[in-house]
Amino acid sequence: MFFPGSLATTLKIECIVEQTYGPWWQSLHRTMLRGILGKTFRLVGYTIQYACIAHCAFEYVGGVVMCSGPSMEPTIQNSDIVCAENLSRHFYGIQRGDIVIAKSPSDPKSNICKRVIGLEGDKILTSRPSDFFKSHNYVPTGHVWLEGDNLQNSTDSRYYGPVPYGLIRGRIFFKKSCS
Amino acid sequence: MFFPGSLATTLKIECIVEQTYGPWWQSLHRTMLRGILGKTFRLVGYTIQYACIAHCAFEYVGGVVMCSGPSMEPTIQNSDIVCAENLSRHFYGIQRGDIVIAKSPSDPKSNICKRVIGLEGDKILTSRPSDFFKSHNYVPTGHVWLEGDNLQNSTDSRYYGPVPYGLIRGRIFFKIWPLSDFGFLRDSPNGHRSPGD
Repeated sequence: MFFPGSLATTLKIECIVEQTYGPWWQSLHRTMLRGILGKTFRLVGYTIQYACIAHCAFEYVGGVVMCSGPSMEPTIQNSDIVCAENLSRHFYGIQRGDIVIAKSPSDPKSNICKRVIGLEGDKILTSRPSDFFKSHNYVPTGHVWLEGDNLQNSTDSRYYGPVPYGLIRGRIFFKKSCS
Repeated sequence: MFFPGSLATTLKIECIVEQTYGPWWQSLHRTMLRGILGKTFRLVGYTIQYACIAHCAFEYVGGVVMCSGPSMEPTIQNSDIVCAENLSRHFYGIQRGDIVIAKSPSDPKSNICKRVIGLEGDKILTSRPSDFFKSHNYVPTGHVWLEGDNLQNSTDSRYYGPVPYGLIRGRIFFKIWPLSDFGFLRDSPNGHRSPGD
């Protein structure tokens, strides 16, 4: 008859332990959880906040861009680092001769980097110099005509036509020359 | 000889006054200026912070838009208020039949609100139903074909050609005003204009 007695004693001791330490464990867990949750939310909040500010800075002020591709040689070589500013676009101050970054009309996921040859209303010579009959195109309203400096090796408006102004993202104004 | 004496006394009193109260005035001005400047900078800082967050929320999540113009009747009337979400655009989830908001190709300062009729690669019927010879256009890569629901009174891709996908800003999915028309938007009343439908 030792067995039930010891069982009863064990159960009684467990009850006492739970009564004394139960609330303590619970409150400890609750505080730890609340602390960790609170810290996580605060961290997420700060990250979102600073990500928004950085995004707006890049979109409205400007940033540093690395260009790739041969279409703007010799002005901009492959893997050159340039500074782009995005204020001219918002104030509609892009002019002929500016080098701009725009979203590609044939691939919305990538960007292109070309020079503005003509603004809306301009008459663009689209025939090759070797052609006998010259053909012209007028740039429609709200569009620009972009061409790369390296005419032999550049897909630009001569290929996909005039580009809507709304695709322009910024203007390149400074190149860090690596010598 | 009263005059120079009183002048000297006045100057002396002024010097005493300046010596006693001068630094006090200066420190008061400095504290006020610093306090005002500090408050102004803090206010400007908070404004910029919340403006950035609001801008990112509108651009990446969505917002409420008021449409104007008759080109989407009867689905969207003039001065209706609709909800637009901008997530589909970033995940390239725009589909045929969606109503989208895009920057206008002919006027970068304004937006247009049309239905997507065709995606890249689709064959679009561009001739009028009354024409005898039917003409087709293929939508180039990276572009979409937009048309308003009110075909008689809508300048859309039939006028300015296919629109680059990069100009799309968001997708309209819900109308909240007028209350008589509250709810999700209907399908196009025109049927499809691609051959084979």
